[in-house]
Amino acid sequence: MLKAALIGNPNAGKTTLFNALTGARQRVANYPGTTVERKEGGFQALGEDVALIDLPGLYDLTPLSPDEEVVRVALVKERPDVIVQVLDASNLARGLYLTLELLTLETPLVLCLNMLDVAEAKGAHVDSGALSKLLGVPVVETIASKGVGMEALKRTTIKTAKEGGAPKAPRTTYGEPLDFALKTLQSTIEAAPSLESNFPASYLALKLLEGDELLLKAIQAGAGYAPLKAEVQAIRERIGQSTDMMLKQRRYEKASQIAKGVTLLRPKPAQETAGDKLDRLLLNPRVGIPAFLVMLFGVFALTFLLGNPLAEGIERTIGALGAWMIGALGTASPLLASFLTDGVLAGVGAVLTFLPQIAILFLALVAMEDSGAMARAAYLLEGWMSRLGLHGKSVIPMVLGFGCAVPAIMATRIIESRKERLITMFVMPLFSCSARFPIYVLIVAAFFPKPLQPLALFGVYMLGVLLAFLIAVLFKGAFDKEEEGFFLLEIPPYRMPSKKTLLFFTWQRVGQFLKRAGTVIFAFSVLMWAMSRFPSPPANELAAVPEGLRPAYRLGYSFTGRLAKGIEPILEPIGFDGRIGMALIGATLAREIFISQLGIAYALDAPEGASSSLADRLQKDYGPLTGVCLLLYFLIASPCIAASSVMAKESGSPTLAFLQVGFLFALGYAAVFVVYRIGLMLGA
Amino acid sequence: MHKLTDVQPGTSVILKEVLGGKRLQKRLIGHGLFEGRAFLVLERLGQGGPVLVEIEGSKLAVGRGIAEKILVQPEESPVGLIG
Ligand SMILES: Nc1nc2c(ncn2[C@@H]2O[C@H](COP(=O)(O)OP(=O)(O)O)[C@@H](O)[C@H]2O)c(=O)[nH]1
Ligand SMILES: [Mg+2]
Repeated sequence: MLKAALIGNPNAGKTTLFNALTGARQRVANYPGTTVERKEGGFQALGEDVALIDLPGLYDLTPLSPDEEVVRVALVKERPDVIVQVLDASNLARGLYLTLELLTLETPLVLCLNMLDVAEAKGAHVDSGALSKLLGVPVVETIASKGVGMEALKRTTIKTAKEGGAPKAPRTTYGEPLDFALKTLQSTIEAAPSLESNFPASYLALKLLEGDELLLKAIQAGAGYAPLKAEVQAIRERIGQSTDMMLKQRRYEKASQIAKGVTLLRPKPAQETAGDKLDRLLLNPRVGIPAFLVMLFGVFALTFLLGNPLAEGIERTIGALGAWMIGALGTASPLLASFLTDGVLAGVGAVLTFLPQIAILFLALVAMEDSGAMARAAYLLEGWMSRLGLHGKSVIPMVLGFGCAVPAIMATRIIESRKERLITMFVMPLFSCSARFPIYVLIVAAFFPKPLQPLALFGVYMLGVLLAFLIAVLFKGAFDKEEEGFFLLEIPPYRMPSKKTLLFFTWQRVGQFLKRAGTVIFAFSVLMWAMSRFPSPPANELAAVPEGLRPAYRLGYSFTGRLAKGIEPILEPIGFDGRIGMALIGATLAREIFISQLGIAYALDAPEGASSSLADRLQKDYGPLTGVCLLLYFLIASPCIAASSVMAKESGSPTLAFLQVGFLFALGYAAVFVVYRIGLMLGA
Repeated sequence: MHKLTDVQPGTSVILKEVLGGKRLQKRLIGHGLFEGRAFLVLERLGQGGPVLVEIEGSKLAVGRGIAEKILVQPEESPVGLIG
């Protein structure tokens, strides 16, 4: 089995390539910094098995953070048989800057010249043959998003790995006295075998002169360390303070030169590209920020306009299925019929109804990520965000938070400064995720007039955003202050999201939703059904109750019914009754259970044969004030176990995750209380 | 010399000095920003927002805090015949 490592600048197309080569489905996005962990996969060609790892992107091999050190460890300690570097052909100098450093690692190297279509569109033709000759390594042309060049890349990778040996590249020259210093240092290292290091001498010499702190630490256990350090010190003093910067700058200049040498620039067409035109319009905050908001609103409107009719179709189908089941089983086995219709169908079915809306929401999120819109929003909002104690790049996890908080919290890794990253995580629950979305839709549909529904839904989301910003401002002093905002972001070109990517990732998210419905939601629905059905009241007691009130009496007698009575004192001040209370308890397990539990409670409570939608039943039993209170509760207070555990892990502070849950619950309870009391006074 | 934050959009400039620490300097080199390099200032957002520059054909947004530490000089306009 051969081992290959994928490496390259952020957004060069590594993950797309990884997916195309291995058939995996890792997340891609058109902004830098998406891949935060290493991912492993494999492919076969020429009768060989190749294990491939996808690494986080980086600009050079001088890690400035432990996160980036991961990449170097993967390259140096684990010694892959071949390194595949992905280069963005439309941004060649930047990639070659990394290449020149990779060459010193003495590991076989393959260059993958990606994004050729983008370069061509820009009027740049890259001569891959010339590049290969100049650097002494194979170069493969690819367009990863269209799967072009994959077979050639597989074959070249395997061949290069099998041949082995360091790349035959000419040594990069830095000019005197740097070259002389590098050579001297390299021979010292080669002569000191006691040095405990997996690094090749040429790489070690370069990095030591560049003052790479992490590397110094990594080798300090070796016996040869002390004299080596002294020599490095002496050289740096002789050459001057800026040895490290000089080396890097010369290397970049060299990369820039090579890039120019192998790129044929066609005479530029007189008019600017469509993307540039669009950017001149949209990168103006007065147009861009409203456009971004309109886009978000459009997403929510779309889920309603397109999603609701589809959802109603599913609801009707489930209703019909239930009626058929009762007809077929009702008399033969009433308990089984109740389990299937009142438990499974009412619980899981109520959640499944929201499948179309969820699919539309994720489709829109994927499209926004892949088009390049997110990076632009980050740029436009950086000024405002930094004043709130947040970071321009916070925008990206925040929008992702509308999908699910778990990937959103992981995505905060693109934020370089710790303080801003922590605040972003802390306010993340206020960006309502897709599990809360069906709850909002249900409540909004029950209590708001039809024309106002999309606006009401959008309003809930915006209220959350506003609260998040307020909390960020209030808390920004609480996190350590020394660090200042560090914002540096490449604005990628616009891309038409490919149909394949859109369908791939939407289907993936829909699949997760379905899986959740089939497992967690199913299990809890069954539990909730059983708890709401048993114990049954004794037959003689039930006989004394008037016919029409029997279902309600049964429910009250059950375990759920009693528990609901028990927690009523806590809920009474905020206007929730026992039935809602039970659903809220269910919701702490998984938010969708709120809907399942209501569905079950109503199904068990229904007089025989009565069937009306959940929204209708809610509307009959509660006023709009309860609706608003429920929206507020779910927006602010409802916790999510998965999000909290990721938060604890990513922030490195379980205390912070704990505080977050407590704080938001208290805030939510207080807000609902105030709104409910004011509502009562106003007579709502 | 001017701070990058003081340059009018549309100006081509040459980077003269980066005032920040080594960490910042190293990061900027990775994006092709160091002494002697020419680039174009595309846009400058108000409200403490970033500066957008174009370097070697790609766009880079530079946060206000960083932009204030980058000193640049407008590129010499070619000595024209117009005088
Ligand atoms: N036009 C074009 N787009 C590409 C190509 N390769 C990748 N992309 C897109 O570039 C963006 C970044 O890709 P990704 O794989 O996430 O880059 P990574 O950050 O290096 O992992 C995505 O929007 C991809 O769809 C290519 O060859 N041509
Ligand atoms: Mg990636």
